[in-house]
Amino acid sequence: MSDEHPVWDSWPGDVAWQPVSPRLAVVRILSLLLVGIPVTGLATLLSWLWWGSPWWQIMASVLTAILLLRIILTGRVVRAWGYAERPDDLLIRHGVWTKRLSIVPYGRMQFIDLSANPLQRMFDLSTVKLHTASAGTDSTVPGLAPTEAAALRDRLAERANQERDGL
Amino acid sequence: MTNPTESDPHHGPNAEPGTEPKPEPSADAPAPTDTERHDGADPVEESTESGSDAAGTVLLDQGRQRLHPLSPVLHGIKTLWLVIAALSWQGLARFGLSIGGALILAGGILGMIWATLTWYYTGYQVQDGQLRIIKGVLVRRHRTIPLDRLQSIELRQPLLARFVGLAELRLEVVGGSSSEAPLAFLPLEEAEGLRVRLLALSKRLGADVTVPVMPSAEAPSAEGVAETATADAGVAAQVHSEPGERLLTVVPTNRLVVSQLLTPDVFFVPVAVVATIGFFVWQPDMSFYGLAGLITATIGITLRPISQAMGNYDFTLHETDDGLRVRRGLTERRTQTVPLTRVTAAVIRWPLLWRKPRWVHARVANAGHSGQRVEELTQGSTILPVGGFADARAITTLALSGIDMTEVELRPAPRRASWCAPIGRPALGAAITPRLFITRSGRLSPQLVGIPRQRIQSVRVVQSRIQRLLRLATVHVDIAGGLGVPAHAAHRDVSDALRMARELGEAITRPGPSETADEPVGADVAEPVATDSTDLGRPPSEDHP
Repeated sequence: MSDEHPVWDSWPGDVAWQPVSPRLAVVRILSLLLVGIPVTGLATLLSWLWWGSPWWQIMASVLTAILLLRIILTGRVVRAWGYAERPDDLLIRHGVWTKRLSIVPYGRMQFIDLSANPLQRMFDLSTVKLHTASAGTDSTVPGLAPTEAAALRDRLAERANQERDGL
Repeated sequence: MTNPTESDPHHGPNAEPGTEPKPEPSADAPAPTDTERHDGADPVEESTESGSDAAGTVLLDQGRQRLHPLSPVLHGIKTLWLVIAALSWQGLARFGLSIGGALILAGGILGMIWATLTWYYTGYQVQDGQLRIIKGVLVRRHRTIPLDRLQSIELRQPLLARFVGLAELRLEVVGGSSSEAPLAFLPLEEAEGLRVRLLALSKRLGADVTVPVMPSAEAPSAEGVAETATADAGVAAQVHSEPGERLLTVVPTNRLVVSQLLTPDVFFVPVAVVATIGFFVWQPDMSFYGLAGLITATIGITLRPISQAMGNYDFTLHETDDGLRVRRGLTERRTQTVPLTRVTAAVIRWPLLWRKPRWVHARVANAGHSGQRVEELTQGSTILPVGGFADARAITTLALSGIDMTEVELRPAPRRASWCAPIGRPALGAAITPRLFITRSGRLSPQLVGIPRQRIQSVRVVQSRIQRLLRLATVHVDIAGGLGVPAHAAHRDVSDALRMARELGEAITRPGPSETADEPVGADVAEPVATDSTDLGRPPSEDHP
């Protein structure tokens, strides 16, 4: 099912969206399994101990269904991620059910985080996150190759400095 | 942790160049003599320093100081309350009185020991135009707060501290969070002296950063408020005003009490009481603890209006050169300054139950809030707990540097937005003026939010599944500081939403000449702050958790 008119398609002008690495899908699925299987197992065990049949079967099937649905959707989730460096600001888009488009002006960036959890490092991926003075800013770019991520961070930092000098 | 100032716990302040040569004990094991020396010497140092500051000499440094030795006792009592609350009636019923009491006692003793350790390892120091706070028992933290980034200092006196003449200083720094350490507790006069001194230092350091001079256009409106306030309050003569302060408004106690009686919480009280009695009649053999729990729950419901009324008791609002000064509180007297140049949003709210007396409520959010209270971080500071619309309008106009947001005509949301907001749709509205982004929402309790466009940090367009089918989208605006209400224009037409987002985004990057005229650009909230100053472009490898 293709996305019918996500909000960013209507953005006027040409935006050169950069995709994130497809390997992110593998990382996401693995981390879903790593968290999902123990949680499902534990919840099933507990409901079996407390409520017995048929509740534990219901619990197990509902949780498994949620887990499977999320795994199936992972490919689309990863394809939906994208970022675009524009002259004055960075655009970030993501989301399958709820589409989100963030506009973060370079002049507002306070600091930039570059991080990778062990699973991401196994697949050679990093995450870049921008921070502004607002806690509400939603600006994470996951699934970048470390060199790409470092280059993006350096470009952003340089632009942030330029903007600040210009002011 | 890669935070530069936090990651060097092995270097005390002295390890850095340009600091005072006075030998200090190492950060990890302060010698006991340190305590004694400072406890004895503090008041003297204070007075000489503030004196020389007033004379305008170099920024004097001083040695590391401790908080008042009674602080751990006050903190320990706080922990005791937490333990009691955590245990609750149910816990007490389960463990029995003796074990429950023992648990409380153990918790209290542990809390007291921890508080003492914390106090022992906490120190502060004013040096090189910076306030350094050294703290942490297990993880040593050196927090450096550049005083030129200081926004305001709040002096608080909780009830217990008031009895023993202590006060707490809370520093608000641009972009700061709840993690900014408060200085709790200091003797009252020392706290007042330090507040004056830090403010003076920050003003001198940041003279080119903050521009507290108000455009003259605002003066008439502000005076209008003062006049109406003094006229209808009639108690202005008794209001304590310091030199340089101009009274804007006073909230009379009877109005405050009535306004808090007209809250949904109070309307639930009869329900709760009936439920309690009903339970008792229906189940007379209910245990003492069960009944006590129900009564506690009933009291809990009324707690919020009561705490609101007590917190806003004797509320006065003054205009000063630094901004708006709020004084309030019955048990805990608080003095708080909201710098006008740092206001990131203003809200006027018309609660449903206040329609009859025609009262409104006004709040502002400001960049960087260090208050530990969650409600303040997320809800902003109240500048009018209850009052007439004219007052609220004048005060928010002042807070938004002279622009009246209530006058702007808002564009409504499209009709099909009713599918997303069946009740609230008619109230939805938004507008972008050259200086402000304004949105309105809420049919039963309408609220109007005004955000100076220069203060916007980032813009988001969010579109849910249903909105996508209806070709609608919501424009969110991110600002520094919490507001308690969403700062968004909900359910706009997609093209309208994108146009708004673009316009708002462009205002940030290219401020027009009119916007730079009276203010030194929104960079004051955008610049890196305190501990984060070198974070821009930090090495990646250290970030791995």
